[in-house]
Amino acid sequence: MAREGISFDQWVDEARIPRRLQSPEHLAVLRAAFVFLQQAGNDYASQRIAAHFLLNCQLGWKLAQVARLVGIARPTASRQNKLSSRQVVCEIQHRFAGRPYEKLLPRYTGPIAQFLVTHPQASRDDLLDFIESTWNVRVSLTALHNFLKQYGLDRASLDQAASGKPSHLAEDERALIEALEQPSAPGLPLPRPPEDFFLDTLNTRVPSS
Amino acid sequence: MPQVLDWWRIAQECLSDDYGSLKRGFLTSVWMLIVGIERIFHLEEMDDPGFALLTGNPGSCPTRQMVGAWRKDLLWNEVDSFCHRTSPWDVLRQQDSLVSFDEHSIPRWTKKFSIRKGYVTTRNKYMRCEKLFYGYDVRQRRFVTVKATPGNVELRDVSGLLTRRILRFGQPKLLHTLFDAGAGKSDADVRRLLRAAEETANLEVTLRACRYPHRVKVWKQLPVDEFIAYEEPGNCQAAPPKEVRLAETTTVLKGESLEQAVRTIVCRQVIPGPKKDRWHPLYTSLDAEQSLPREVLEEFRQRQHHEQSYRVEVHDAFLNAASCGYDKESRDRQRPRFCRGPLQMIGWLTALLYNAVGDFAAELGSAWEGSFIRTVRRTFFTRPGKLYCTPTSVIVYFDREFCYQDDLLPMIDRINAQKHRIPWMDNRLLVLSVCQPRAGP
Repeated sequence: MAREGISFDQWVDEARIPRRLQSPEHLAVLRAAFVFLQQAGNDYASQRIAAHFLLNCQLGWKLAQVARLVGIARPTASRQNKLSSRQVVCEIQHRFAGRPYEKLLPRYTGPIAQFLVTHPQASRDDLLDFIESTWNVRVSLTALHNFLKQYGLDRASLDQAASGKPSHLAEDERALIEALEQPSAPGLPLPRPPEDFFLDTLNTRVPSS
Repeated sequence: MPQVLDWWRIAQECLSDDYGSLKRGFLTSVWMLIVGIERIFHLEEMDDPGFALLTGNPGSCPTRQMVGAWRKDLLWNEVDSFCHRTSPWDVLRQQDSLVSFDEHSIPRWTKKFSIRKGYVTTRNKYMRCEKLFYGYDVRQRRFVTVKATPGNVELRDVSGLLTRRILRFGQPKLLHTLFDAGAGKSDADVRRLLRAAEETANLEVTLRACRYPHRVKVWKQLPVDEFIAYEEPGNCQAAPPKEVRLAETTTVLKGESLEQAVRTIVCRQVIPGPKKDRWHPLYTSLDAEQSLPREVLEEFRQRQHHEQSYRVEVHDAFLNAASCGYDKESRDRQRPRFCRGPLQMIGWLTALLYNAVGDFAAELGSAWEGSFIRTVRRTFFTRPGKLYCTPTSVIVYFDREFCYQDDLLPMIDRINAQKHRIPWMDNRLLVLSVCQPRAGP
């Protein structure tokens, strides 16, 4: 870790980098990283950016060596490995916001259910984008999966609910949207709601007139 | 909804279901009050799928015939059990409680059946009626008990019963009961109440004395220097202050000696102009060391909240539309039987709604405390929305933003976190949801 007052050689020695990985090319990159950490400071964001760069610059350093260079634990470096740059930036943002991912509250179910009903072909990414644009939160795929499953909004549950009974315009929002999108057929009567939609006929006596 | 789930659970345990109409009848009776359906015959016009779901059958809305039949067959002992188990005894337990008892008369206009008559205060006449007697905690502003009776029963007939019930089940540390003049029409009634207060360590009684001419004459003869004058704020900002004069004296009841005289607080409200002054005498079992005359008067004035609650129940929860207590299938229409069950059930459901709305408003914040049922219903209950029934949950989505929506969010989060399941919807999880408010102006 590039502490203040430490020289570049000491920094490299403490990281126990083998000689074969200390070629002029390697040292140039390491010197740039050292200066970056000295200048930018040793905060979480700088460490993550430096580690991400060192792991992905294809110069052959091992995970443990990079962890020692930037001053993080080996398991942490492993967890952060194989992430895209976008994901790293998101994690840094969420870290500053207090947690790596936002939480999906139960009261979000209504808009999510409406979105799923009106967009039956939407992918998980579309749903994530909808959640982010509506509540300005980013959630993980796992959290979203658990959330949808808990409230019966996952694809299997929705299909089961849809196949349970024939949809009707008066009852099913999706059927209504599909019907509205269809071109109107001239001369055809409007469909009548099912009989059980109406109340029973009154059987009380009425004055005869 | 959480309270309704509790009531439904208790109703299943207390009420019999011989005709299979308990679920529909009970839930319809409750939700009618909550959503504001004034009369049972208004059900004929209902074709709302949400209401059908709430009342236990998503296929169709309930009919008035079925609900009416369920109400008619309610047994008094089962209803008593339901009322007892849903009473908020916890608000009284180990508390210094101030409980008011009073009657509410429901006028009946039947010509066919000869039912007992009683005095209806709001109409100022003696007419056919039925009565509901409530106990009301005036500090917590909650109804605590109820009893339905025919119209000829008076407060003095049930005052002892209701007081004993509160003492037994509420177990307050100290119970101070307030009665209107109807509880002490005769001196024997007054003595009975005061004797109960003497015999019970944690019971005090204050009741308004009847203004019989011979008593008023005595009170008017009290020396002027025995009265202490107080000024109270006028009716409005520009109005002159009201003058109230208080004196403490004793009243010898009929057939009793001077040693048994009852402590009496005489309140004289001075009316400016040619009008007569108003006299408000109070009998109390509190002695002079326990409370000053002014304190007794202040506590008794809290009873006005009880009267106000009746107005709220009548106008906002349609108490006067409660089911009839007389039996419409009696063989002798001149002497129909009195069935306490239906009247007491609907009267108590109204009181439960009053309490639940009070709790709801208190949780919303101090700005909403004391809000009337109609205000809360208009603002929060009757909102347009969508229902999504999934295999595991019922999602209630208020898809249009409404005023004060933000006040509701903490409560919605709490209810969602409690994970309530709705038994009559295949035990689905209840999830409440609101739309995201629009950003910016």
